[in-house]
Amino acid sequence: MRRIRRFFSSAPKYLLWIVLSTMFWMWIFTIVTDTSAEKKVTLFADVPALADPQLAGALEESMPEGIRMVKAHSFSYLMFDDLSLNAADIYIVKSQDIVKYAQYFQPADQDWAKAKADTLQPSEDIIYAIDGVPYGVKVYDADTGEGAAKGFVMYVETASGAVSSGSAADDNAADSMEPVLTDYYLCFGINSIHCGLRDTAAYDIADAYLALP
Amino acid sequence: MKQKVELYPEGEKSRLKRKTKVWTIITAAAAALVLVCCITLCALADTVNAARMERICCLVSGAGGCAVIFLYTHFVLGSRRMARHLDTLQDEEIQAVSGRVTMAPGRIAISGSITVRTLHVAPEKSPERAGVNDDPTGKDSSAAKRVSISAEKVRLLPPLPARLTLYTVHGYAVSYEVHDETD
Repeated sequence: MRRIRRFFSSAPKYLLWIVLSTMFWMWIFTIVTDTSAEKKVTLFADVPALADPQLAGALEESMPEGIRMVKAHSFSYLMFDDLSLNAADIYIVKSQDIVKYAQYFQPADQDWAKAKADTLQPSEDIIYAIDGVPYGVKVYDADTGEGAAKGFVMYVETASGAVSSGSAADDNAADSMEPVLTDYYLCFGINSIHCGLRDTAAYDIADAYLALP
Repeated sequence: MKQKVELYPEGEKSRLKRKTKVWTIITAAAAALVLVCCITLCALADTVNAARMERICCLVSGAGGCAVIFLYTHFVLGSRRMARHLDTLQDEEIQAVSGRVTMAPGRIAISGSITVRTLHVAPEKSPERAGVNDDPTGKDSSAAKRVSISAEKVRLLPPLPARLTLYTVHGYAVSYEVHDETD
């Protein structure tokens, strides 16, 4: 009894230590695993599922000079913070969202886009252009199911997890279980500092992304 | 024949100092080990394993830190407080109190000092002086006196209740003599 009482009397200081040390090491890891915008390329993907550390690790294998880190996040990572979203270098977005979020994207380099159109599978919509200006390169084709970095990114989502029991109401649910098929494009952030003439790191990472199995 | 038993034998102070030193070294080594482990985990972290390393680091730091706190509070502080308590008992006037000694239930943890237990010493009068109050102030001198004893030293006492002469300094028992029941 005395031991139990003694344990509970000293429990607050152990709990306080656990909370403080956890916060401290989380802060340290945030510092250790991050760097300034000049030295990193950030990729945001609006996809159902993403193996972000593995994708970032794979992209880091072909890091251009001057870049120390690649960060990859899904949009769900953002929560209520859109500052990091605005500062991203590369976006993977659904084709129908490109026009909607056009103000977040900058036109891709014409030569780079042309080179991609020539080297990638030839199809009419490999380059997404608005008024003749290239904005994105297709990374997933919903019709063929072909896509880049499929080992790290899940492009196909099921709208609902409902189980059908055969009733009329469930027919709609069964319909909603059909996978939502949509094309995905790779676009460049309007505020990216790696899409210039001198710093082309975002294009290098985009090339690496397109080459991933 | 009465035999005086010392609760704080010769060399107790140097033994405590040595104990404090050893536990301080052990605690510091444990803290250093936890810190080195956490720094190593930080150094080994890369983009792919960062989340796992962070979880392990938090676990090592949390559990290791708790172990260090436990070592410090139970061993280092314990022996350091005992040594300080021993300092207050040295070179002071010793008083004696005799009677039937019983132990009060419960421990008293003195803030920043040792944990003590309380002994009640009920004085015994000879049959011919029974009923006579010796105290000129009129207070009942037959009332039980209270003596504190370090909780760690209780195991050195004979089974209680017993007839003892307790030698005290500042109200703390430092030695005792057992009375023969035939006395």
